[in-house]
Order: sequence, then structure tokens, then C-alpha cells
Amino acid sequence: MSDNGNGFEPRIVGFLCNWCTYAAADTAGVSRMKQEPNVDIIRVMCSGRVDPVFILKAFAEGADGVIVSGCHPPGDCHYSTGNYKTFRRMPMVEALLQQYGIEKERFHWGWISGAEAPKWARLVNDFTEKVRDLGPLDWKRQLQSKEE
Amino acid sequence: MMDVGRHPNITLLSYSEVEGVSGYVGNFDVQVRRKARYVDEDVCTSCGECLDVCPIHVEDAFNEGLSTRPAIYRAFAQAIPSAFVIDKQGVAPCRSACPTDQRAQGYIALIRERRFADAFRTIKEDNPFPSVCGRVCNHVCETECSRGKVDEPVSIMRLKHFVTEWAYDHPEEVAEAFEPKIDADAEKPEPTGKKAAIVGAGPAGLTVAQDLVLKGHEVTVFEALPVAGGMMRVGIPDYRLPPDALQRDIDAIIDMGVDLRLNHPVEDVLGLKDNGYDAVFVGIGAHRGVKVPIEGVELPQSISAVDFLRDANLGHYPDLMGKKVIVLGGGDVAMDSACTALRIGTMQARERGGEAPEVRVAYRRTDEQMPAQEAEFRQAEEEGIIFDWLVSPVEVVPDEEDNVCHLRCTRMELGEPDESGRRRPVPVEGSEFVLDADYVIWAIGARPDPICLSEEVECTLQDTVVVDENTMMTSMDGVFAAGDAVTGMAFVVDAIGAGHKAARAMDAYLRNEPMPGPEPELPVAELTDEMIAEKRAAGEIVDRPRACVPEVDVDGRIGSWCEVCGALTEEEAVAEAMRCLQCGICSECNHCVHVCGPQAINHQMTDEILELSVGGVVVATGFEMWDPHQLPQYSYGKSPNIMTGMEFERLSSAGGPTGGEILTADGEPPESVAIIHCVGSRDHNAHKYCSRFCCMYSLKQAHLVRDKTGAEVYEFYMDMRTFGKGYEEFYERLQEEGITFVRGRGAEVEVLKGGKLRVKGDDADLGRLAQADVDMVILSTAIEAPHDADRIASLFGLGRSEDGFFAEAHPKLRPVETNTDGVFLAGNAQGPKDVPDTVGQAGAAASMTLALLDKGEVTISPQVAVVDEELCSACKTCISLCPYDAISFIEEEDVARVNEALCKGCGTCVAACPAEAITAKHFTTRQIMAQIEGLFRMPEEEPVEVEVERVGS
Repeated sequence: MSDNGNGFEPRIVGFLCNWCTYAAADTAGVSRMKQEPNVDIIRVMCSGRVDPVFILKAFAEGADGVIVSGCHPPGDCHYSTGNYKTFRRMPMVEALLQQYGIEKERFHWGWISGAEAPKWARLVNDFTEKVRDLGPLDWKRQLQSKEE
Repeated sequence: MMDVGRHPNITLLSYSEVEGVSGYVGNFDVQVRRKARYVDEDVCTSCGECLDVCPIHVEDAFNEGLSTRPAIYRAFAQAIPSAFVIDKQGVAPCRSACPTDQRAQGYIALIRERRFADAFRTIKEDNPFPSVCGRVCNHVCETECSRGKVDEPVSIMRLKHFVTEWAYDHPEEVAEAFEPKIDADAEKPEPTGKKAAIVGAGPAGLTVAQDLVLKGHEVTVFEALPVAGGMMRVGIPDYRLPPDALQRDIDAIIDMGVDLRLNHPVEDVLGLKDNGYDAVFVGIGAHRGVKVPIEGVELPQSISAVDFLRDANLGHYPDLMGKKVIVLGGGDVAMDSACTALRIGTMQARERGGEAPEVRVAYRRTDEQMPAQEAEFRQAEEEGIIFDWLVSPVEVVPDEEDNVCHLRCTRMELGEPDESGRRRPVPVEGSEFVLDADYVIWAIGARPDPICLSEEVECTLQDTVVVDENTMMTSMDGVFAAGDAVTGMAFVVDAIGAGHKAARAMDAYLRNEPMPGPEPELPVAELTDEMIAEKRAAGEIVDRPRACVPEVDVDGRIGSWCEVCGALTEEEAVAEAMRCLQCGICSECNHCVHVCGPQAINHQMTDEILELSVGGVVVATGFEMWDPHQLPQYSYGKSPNIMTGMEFERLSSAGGPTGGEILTADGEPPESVAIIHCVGSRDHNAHKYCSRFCCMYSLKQAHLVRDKTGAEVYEFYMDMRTFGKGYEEFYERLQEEGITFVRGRGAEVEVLKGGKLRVKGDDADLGRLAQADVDMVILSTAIEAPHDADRIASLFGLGRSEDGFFAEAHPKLRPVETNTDGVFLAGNAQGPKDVPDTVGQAGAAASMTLALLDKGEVTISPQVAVVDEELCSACKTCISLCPYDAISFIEEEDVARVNEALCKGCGTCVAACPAEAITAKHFTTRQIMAQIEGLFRMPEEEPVEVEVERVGS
């Protein structure tokens, strides 16, 4: 584990679709692949279920990074076209976050199939390291101070 | 397999592909494309007579390319259904382009086989005038020929010329080829007692006459001229089409029983209908030459090309010795007129000792826009015809005796393109000049002369007859027309094609049957550049320039009517036919049809789309063999004695290419054989997984080699995976049979000089390198998911595991189900397995499907979406998002509603609903928000309260 000097450990929320990335994460765990402990996973049936509000909510609650991951387009989606909706929505979220002053590096969205457990483990480790280097976001406190 | 084929409750859709799937568990709608088989499955008795007559030889995929098979075939002897299939990519482009539907690829394939009489039968099938079309055709087939993409098109017209000349030289062989092969009586027409009159013995009229006689009608042909053949006889000069060559084709038609009356002009076509003819065909051609109405155009030496060529063809020659002749026009007729005038004048000069004529062609555009065929233009130039481009006539000037003495002309220049795409010539002001001329021949077109038709038959302003495009019937009931009379001046093949069409309709008319509609459009076989590259790589493209046709030298030809172009020799013709790329695979030569007793073959079949409603689906799409070319260290492809396990399987099969004898490429039994395991399997450079059944078949093959040849066998293996019942015992037996087992990967195969194969590998037991020089190497290659597995996966909503095979719902607990309810897996589609395991899984898949169907109802997951109808703002966003059409809009209540049976619970509508009216049960927004809050709540804080919502009603 690398360290940015002050012992900061980021909190990351991952919204994973039930059929692909969640299955990959499951396999990664069962296969005992070494992963950073910083990602908390919230399972949704489809990445198309991920309301942009969930992502804002996670940052507002104190997350330093967010991952959204589903099935590879085209054709891998269990619901045939749910991942296309993710494909259209996520760039919008990306733009929105930047307007709020949140670095786009704190938000990762993409595709990991059920067969790609090593890819999931790699993403967890790489993304955690990246967010760790960015330092704390602390959006919750900023929001509270604005309210006051 | 036989039992499956015979079972009353099983419908086997072979040669078919699933194209679309919709619906849900218990209610799938499946679209299946039944590919055209061209053989009626229910009629074919699989006697195999067709196999011997098919001229096509392609690689036999079942025998792994170790042998060839015809285009009509059955995958293997025990195939179910046992009916044959024709391997056809579509109609070959050459046939598709030809107005007569001439089966060019067919007769070319037969020429390759030196079956010239059969080739002639194929030609005659669609074309009653092969002697003509082998010489003077505009050959659109060659324009479309795929060989043109490689170098130059196949010389299709000249191949026809060769076959026709050969056929007339070998009448006995031809008679034998034309003999009915199945039932002589069935091929004889029943007389119908109906009478048809044909007006005009040109290509259209005689084609109709032939077709109708063959259908059993009584046919009389009336011809105004003293000779038959129409424009073929009096429009085409003898040096291009000798009259006796034409006459052979005409005689063949007359011999069928056509009554031909020459010198018999018909003055009133409609009158024929009152004189006992049940149907009349008008094939009067276009014999009235067109001239531009300029001053002096009606002078006696200013004549149309049609009149000039007709007179010349009938032996009436004007005196052209030493004369100046100007031909106006730029088409084939202009070339013919100029060269004919040159010959007449030259022959007169040589006979009487005078000057040769000076013949020039004046054309208002340039050589680039000239419609004449290249060869004709070249020959005319060689013969000394003078060409004047961009010249247009203004006045034909007479001398005092009213004979033509000059042609006043103007220079032209090219302006904007007209409707035909050619640049329109416009006169250059003040550029007029005078050419000396004794004769002016107008070769600028011809029109029909419909004087024999009463006004009841509708004609256009250009005097052509108006007909229905499908039936060729004129505005008068029972009166049909085709050829130049309908199209204006066109080519012989156009007239023949239209004649066939008219005859089909006339036959229906005479039998009081419904008139034929438009002909079905059949797909055309297209060779793409990639396919050509593949053929080249496979060595199927013979490198050879287009055949050259011998021509008589200029001096010899301009002094006589001898034919300019000679025929190809037999060797040249066969070599030229080898250049054909066989675009369609099946050449449609039709010889299978001739020998098929039950008449099961139908070359006009098209693909059918079948709509099926099914409750469950079992995907058992199997595997493909991995290609060992990808690992060059095994030298696969460098020696025919290095083969895959599958190839060896065919070699050792009693039904295989050697009848089961194990032989090297030299035809000798091997003295030593090496078998290398795990080629492409358990290898990070190819597939990581174990292909699972290769160990066992490798052992079986080792046993076969020992048993049949007694050869030394070396097995290079990594681990011997003899996991099944009785398998280990078999392995032990083989050890006793004296097979040398080398534990360690076979690493490399080297082809030695003299053909021996050196196998090198690791011997892990002895800790050293092992090496063996053998006669034959068998590679136990990996299997892999089929190349189109991704298409099947997205059709049925299947996932795929890392190895590419379809993913089961759970690797241990649900190995037969998939994540799509109602879709099950069986066999190697799910992953490598041997026959017993495949049968076991297939049985399980069948049971699960039966259990599903038997229950008649399905249990669905409770994770579905519901709409709170009070909050719904009726924006309809959700409706277009749902991939299952589960949400419908209720107009009366102005709300969206979810059909719970169709909803799969993905929740994409929930995320998109702007009114937050939709909830996904078990994944509600509140639940997910609470999870997020919960993540960041400190342990000492109050727990997050999660309300258990009651959603929907």
C-alpha cells in the first residue's frame, strides 16, 4: 500500500450490475485476489438502474471516489440494452461533477464482464491508488459549511 | 440419429439458422431462416445419380479437405435428413447479367471437364442461337465477370463459339447428350391442339416458335423476306456471322416441327386471329432506317444502313469500286456498314482491276463516346477505314445528274452531358466544310415499321409496340410482341430473352392458365475482394491471360466474305475455362435436373423465414477446431503428413478418403507416427484451458495406428487425463501394446529433406530432450467456441465465460441453465466435454425444458418495477426505454403501467423517471440511498432507519 504521507485512506463506492461486474467482483473475492479494502459495493440489477442522483449522493455523503460498472456493450447486457443507457448517462454525470468542482478522476465508469475478475481486482487497486493521490474530497463538509 | 429423424414429434430444421428471438420464458418467438436447399427434402431419395454428373469439385469439409465433393452433396453418408443439398452462393453474375439467363458458369464448368456435348446442351437450354451469340453478342456477361477484378474477364462469348463449332462437328455425341436420361415419354409434349402464328422469323419470333412447339402447340412462322433469321441474317454481315452457321440454328428449330413460310408478308396481323390462330406473336423487328432530315437526304446514293446491309446480305451489291463512301454514325452498325462497303468495293476492284474504295466514318462525338464495341472499331481501323470525329452532316450535295457528289458538314464540340451521361455535341459556328462523297450511308438507328398492325394495337411515338412488361402482351388480347419491335434496335440476346418471356405467357394464355407475374429476383453470387484474395491464397486462381482469338489478316479478309475471327482450339478453350472463378459454386448447368428420377431439384428455391412459437430453447451449437497454423513451431501445412487429430479421424474412417487405410501422402503405410497432445490447449500462447477429450482420442488413434499398420507410435503428453469410467483401463492396455509414451510437451516439428518429420520435445521423466524421426505427425489440437458465438450470445441473451464458451447460470449448482430464463445449454457450447458428458448434459437440458413446458406456468422473480399512478406525469419516457415492452400507456387513465410478467426488473425506467413515479421492488431509491448513507454512518451513530415500503397494490 502506498501512502500520500498523511495516512489518508479514501472511501470509494462502487455501483455494480448484478450480472457482470458484481459477478466479477464475487469471483475476484472467491479466488482470493488481493484487493485494496477501500471500495464498498452496492449491487444494482443493471448499470442502467444507476440514477445519477446515487452518484451525487455518494459524494455528498463523503465518498472520495465512485465506480459505476456494467456489462460490455454490445450484446453482453443481461437486459439486452441497459448498458447503452449507462453509456449515454455517464458522460453527462462526468460533466456535471466537473461543474460542481469534483475532479473527473474521482469518477470511473466502464465495463467488466463476469469473466474478468482479474480486471476488477486491478481496477480496485489502480483506482484506489489514484484517489489516494488526489487526497480527500470532503464534499460533505464543504456542503455543510455553505449551508451555514 | 435415425430415430430423431423418424420421430413424429420432432421436426428437424437442418440447413437453417436462427435469425431473431423475442418474447420471454414459455413464450419465445423465434425466426428461423431455412436456407434454400435447391432439393426438395421430401422428394429426394438420395440415390446419388446427381453426384456423377455435377461438374463442380470443391473441398469436402466433412473429410477435412482431404478429398473433394460435387456442388450437390450430402454432408456425410448417415446425414439426417438424407436428402441432398446444392452448395450455391446465388446466380453467377454472368448469368444474372444475360437477358437470356444463359448459364455461362455452367457450360464453362463442363468445358473444364471436357464434356463439350453436355456444355452444348446447357447452352441450348436458354439460347436457341448459340452460333450467333458465340460470335456477335454484346456479352454483358463479360462486363460483369468477376475474373475482371483479377485481370481480364473470361472470354465467355468465344467459349460458346468453341462449344458450338465442336457440337456441329460431333453430331453423334451431341445427340447422345440430349437424350432423355430418365423418362423419354415424360419429356415429350402432349399436343394441345392450339395454333399460334408468329410474324417475323427473327431471333424473337423463332425463340417463341421453338418454346411453343416444345410445349405442344402448333406453330406457323410468317416471314416477308426470302430468308429466315431477321436482322441476324440481313443486318449482320457475313464476315462476322456466316449465313450457314446461322442456318444450322434455324434448321434445329424448324426440325422440331415449326412451319416456316418465307416470302410471306403479313398485311393484317389481327386478321390472323380470325383465321384460326389462337394467339399471335409480332416479331417484326426494326427494319426502317432512320436519317436526319437535311437537304438532299433522299438522293438515291444517300441510303440507310439497314437497307444497305440487307441488300448486301442478299447479294445485291452497289458499284463501289474506287468510290468515296461516308458512313454516318458510331455504333456497331456503322462499323459493319463501313467494313461491308470496303469489302464490296475491294472485291469489285480486284476482279475488275480498279481502285479500292475510300471509306470513312463520320461521327458527331469522339472515339471515347462511341458505342461500337472495341474489337469492331479496332478491326475497322486495321482495315483502313478513316475516322472523322466531331463531324455532323448539314447537306447532301448532288451533281448535275442528281447523283451525290459531296457531303457538307460542320465541326462539333462537346458540351454538357445529356440524359445518357454522354457529353452532347454542339455545332461550332462557321466551321462548315465539304467532303467528297459518292455514297452516304446513315447508320444512326432504325425503327419498327408497324404498318401491318391496326390502330387497335397501341404503339409509342417511336413506332415501337407497347406491351405488358411481364407477359409481353400488347393492348390487343391474344396478341404478343417482343424484340426490336418493342425495344427499338437492340441486341440478339435481348430479343431471345424477351422471346422466352413472351412464350411463357403465350403458353399460359393458350392453356387458359393464369398469366405469369414478374419473375422472382434470385440473389446474385458476388465475389468480394476478400473472397478473391482467399481463393488466390488457396491456389484456386489459375494465372493465365485471357485467350486470344485468331483473326484473318487484313489483306485476306477485305477481299472476301470470310469470317474474320476463328474459333479457339480445344486446349485453348479448356485453359480459358480454367480461368473461371466459379462465383456461384453451383454452376447451374442443370445436368443434375436431367438425371433426377423423382425430379426433386429446383434451382429457383429461395430462403424461407419460419416463425416459431416455442416455450424453451436448448443451445447446443458445439465447437470449432482451433487452427494450428497459429503456432508455427508445429509446421502444420508444411507437409501433408502433419495432420490434425480430426484429419486423422477421417483418414482412418472406413467412409473416409482412403476407405480407412492409414497412409502417408505417398500412399504408403507409415513406419512410425508421433502424436502430440495439447496443441493449442493448456498453452498461454493459444488457449489456456484443457480441451478435455483429446487425451482419449489420441490414445484411440495410437491404438488404431498400432492395430492397422503396426507402426512405432510416440505419444508426447503433458499429463494423461484419463478421467472417465473405463478410460484408465484403456490407457493401461495401450501401454501394454508397446506405445512409447514421452511425458513432456512436444515442442517442435521439423520437416527434414526427404520428407521425414523430426519431432523434438521435453522428456520430463528422464530430464532430457527427446527426439524422434517419424513418417506422420498427428496434432491433438484444441477446440474453441464457434467463430459466430457472439452472434448466438446476443440473440439469446447469453453470457460467455473467459474461454469464450457460453456461461452457465452457476458453475456448480446450475450447469445447464443460463441467466436467461427458458434458455438451456448442452454439450460443447458450454465448454469442452466428451460424448458421454455431452449426452448427459443434453438429457438434463431436455428434462429442464420439459419440466418448464409441462408445468404450463412459470415463477418469476419478484424484482419488478411498479408505477405509482398518482405520481405518473404521463411523459412516456419509460415506455421507449424498456427493452421488453413491459410498460404500456393506458390512454383512458393517462398513466403508464408495468406488465409484471414481462418486466425483468433491470430498473432502467426507474433511473429515468423524472417524476420518480416508478419503483424497482427490492431496489427502491430509498433502499439504495439508505445503503449509501449507511456506508458513511459512524458505528457509534444511530442506525439508519430503513422503512419497509409497501409499493404498488
